[in-house]
Amino acid sequence: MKLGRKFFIRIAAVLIIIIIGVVMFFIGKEHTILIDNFSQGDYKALDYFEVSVDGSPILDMSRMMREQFTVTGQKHTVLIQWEDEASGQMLAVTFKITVPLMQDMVLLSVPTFMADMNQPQSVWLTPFEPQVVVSSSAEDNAVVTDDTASFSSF
Amino acid sequence: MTNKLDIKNMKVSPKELLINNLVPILFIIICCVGIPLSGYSGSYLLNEILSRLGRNAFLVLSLLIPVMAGMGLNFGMTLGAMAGQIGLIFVSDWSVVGIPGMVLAAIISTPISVLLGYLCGSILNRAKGREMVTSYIIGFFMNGVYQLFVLYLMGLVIPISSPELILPRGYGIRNTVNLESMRKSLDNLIPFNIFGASVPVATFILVVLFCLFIIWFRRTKLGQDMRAVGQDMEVARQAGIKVERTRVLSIILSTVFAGYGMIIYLQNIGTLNTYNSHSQIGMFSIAALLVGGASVDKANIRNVFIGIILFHLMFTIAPTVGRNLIGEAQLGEYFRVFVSYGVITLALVLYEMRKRRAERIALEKGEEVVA
Amino acid sequence: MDAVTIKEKALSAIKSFGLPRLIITGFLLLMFVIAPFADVNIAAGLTNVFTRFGMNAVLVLAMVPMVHSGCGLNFGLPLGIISGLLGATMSVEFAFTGFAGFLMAIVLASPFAIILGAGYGVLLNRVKGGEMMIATYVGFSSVAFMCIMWLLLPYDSPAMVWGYAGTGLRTTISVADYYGGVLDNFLRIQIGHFAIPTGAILFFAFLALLIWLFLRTKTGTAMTAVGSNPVFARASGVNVDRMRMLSVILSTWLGAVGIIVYEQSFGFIQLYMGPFNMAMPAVSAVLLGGASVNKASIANVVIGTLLFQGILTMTPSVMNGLIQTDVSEVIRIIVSNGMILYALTRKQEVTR
Repeated sequence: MKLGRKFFIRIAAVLIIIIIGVVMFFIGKEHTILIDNFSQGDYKALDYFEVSVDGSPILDMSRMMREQFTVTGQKHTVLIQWEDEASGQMLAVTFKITVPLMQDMVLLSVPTFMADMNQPQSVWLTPFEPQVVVSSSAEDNAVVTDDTASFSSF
Repeated sequence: MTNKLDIKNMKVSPKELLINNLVPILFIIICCVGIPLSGYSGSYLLNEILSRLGRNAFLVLSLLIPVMAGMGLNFGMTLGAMAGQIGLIFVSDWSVVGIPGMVLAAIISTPISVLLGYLCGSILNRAKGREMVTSYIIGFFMNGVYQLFVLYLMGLVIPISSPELILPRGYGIRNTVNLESMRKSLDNLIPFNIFGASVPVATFILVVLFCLFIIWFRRTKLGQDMRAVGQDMEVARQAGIKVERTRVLSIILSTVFAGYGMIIYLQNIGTLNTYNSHSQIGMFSIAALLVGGASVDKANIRNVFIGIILFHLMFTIAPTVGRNLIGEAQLGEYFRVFVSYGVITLALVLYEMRKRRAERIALEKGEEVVA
Repeated sequence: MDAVTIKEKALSAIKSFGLPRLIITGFLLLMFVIAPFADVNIAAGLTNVFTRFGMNAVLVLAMVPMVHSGCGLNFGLPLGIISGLLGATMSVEFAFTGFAGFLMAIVLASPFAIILGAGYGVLLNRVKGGEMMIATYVGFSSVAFMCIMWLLLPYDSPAMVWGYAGTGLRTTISVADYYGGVLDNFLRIQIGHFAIPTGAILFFAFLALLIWLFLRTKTGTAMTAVGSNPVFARASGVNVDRMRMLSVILSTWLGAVGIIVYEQSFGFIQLYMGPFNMAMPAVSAVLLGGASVNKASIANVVIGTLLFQGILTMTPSVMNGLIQTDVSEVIRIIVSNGMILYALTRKQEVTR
């Protein structure tokens, strides 16, 4: 079989579409970043700091608090501001994180990060598996397949 | 199939003009009477119509291509809607959100639409002359296959893992799929307000692009072939056009675009009713097209927009009018269902009657020639 | 006889029987064979099949006259059903009970069936060639229209109207105190789990006999002639439009009687969207029985209804017993619509 130019153009078109699909997956994949201010072993929780992810409105964090940010894509910029105890000045740090592609939720432990900012990401950014409560009543299993049911919802 | 008659170029008397535009005229009257009775403000109605225009235009436009190929109103567009929904189920499972989610869903839906459209077109080629009723039944048939896949095989054979999607029993998709993370992501991409009504600019841009595509498509070789096939299959065949292939292609295109239309529609709604979002979409889209003055063999872009505006104006006001007039909102809801079906019935009847009259006139003319 | 001719004969037999019918008959037999392994009582299964046969057979019979006169499959069955519902609700409103209630329902439904059927017939005569699609939508529009009417019509029997409002009919109305089961329990044969609703089957047989006889009268043969060759029929002096209209009236009336028979067995009158999807099962049943778009006989009705209801009743119980999943709804949708598709795409033996 002779493979003409048309064939290669088609193959290329399909490939481009697949690549677009993959790119969409990477940039559109939703992740949840949990910003955590709990004590982790030797690292004591901070009294107070402010946090923002990718330029979101700044959230105040005190001890024993956990906030969640919903983001899309893998690379994110985190901004943390806190008051230096010795000088009383506001200090700020901005750093980048990379969320693993297939990880829906990650937990960023701020005390761990603040203890030593030069540690690798894997030390203070850990995968987090939310616990899902699955109820299993017969009602939940029921589905409505009646096609006249959608009249009023249209 | 005997040669199809050129109904368009017949002389029209004022009475015929009235009959030919009976459906839109009826609707204008309904809306003129209904709007004051509903008591809705202008900005509310404008907002509703703009939003409904955005979410439905793409779906209704997808019907134009099969009409061009003489295959009537494609009730099989529900197949495309199913493909679009399958795409959305997958992206929800992978939690890909927003515009990238929509694009990805569209990419996933495309091969499914092509396959379903190919099947539908091939079946319709075996039922020439009764394409509409056949495509209508194909919609029902495929709904069964869709249920088989979504209600039994997803989670069992087809990997879907999110517990928010899977029924507690371990397989099958839940009744509703939440698309909150995608809701209005296209509509609000370019925010714009007019008279207190928000305009889904980005959606309209897509719709305009689709219109331009249709206008361009009419002039391509394939578009010309389709119109030739729509005029007369035998003549087209003698002219060397592959009639069957052209017809299948018209259905495939319609199905693919209906799938995209469904994705746009659902991003506006924000929830996917897994088992019945698609089932009525064909009926309502066709009703809207017919309200715009289209008929089985003739439909253009103008019909689409007039139709959606009039039909959805009626749809928005009907329940309130029902409540204000008789004290039952339910009555208005039944009324709009009745009107939707009634419109299709009326349009089909008018079309068949016109066709028969044209045939009779042609027959008489033929006899005169012989004499 | 050598092997080749046997094979040919077998093939032609399969062809005349129709492959889909063969598959479905095989499937139904398979269901009965594996039923004991799935802890399904065959006697109870058969009882269900017969009960549902009695319930649905008249509705399927309503397909026959219209197919005979060439009006195609009666997708407009809901129109007949609506006439039946009007009769049924009026019979309850006037508080007729027992067998009298059943008969009165039919009597009261008849004028509606005749008037609606006549109008429907006039309409179908003006749209020859496009009957099926229009019939479908006439059915749907009339159901939607009646949804409005059920709310507005001045019924006031407490058995039927919404309690709190005092007006508007309920979605489902029990006929247990009126004519529930009058046919099913007439001469009922009961042996353990096994039962036959003799009355309902006799009633169907009576109607089927009437139709059979009618099709053999002069009018009946003229009707068949209109269906098989309208040009020839017109040439031999038959009023084509009148015959078609008569067949539509007859189909509509049978639809009306059919739904009343259905209700007495089912026990409830279903209003509003109830009749909406009732045409499809009846259409596919008659097709399953061997009918085509322009040919249908009483035998097609009997075989088709038995097969269709057999599949419908046996699959859920057997499937449930085997894999604890009810896929019957999906099977019903695929089988019934697949059957209609098959009929629509077949090369017609008789071209009109």
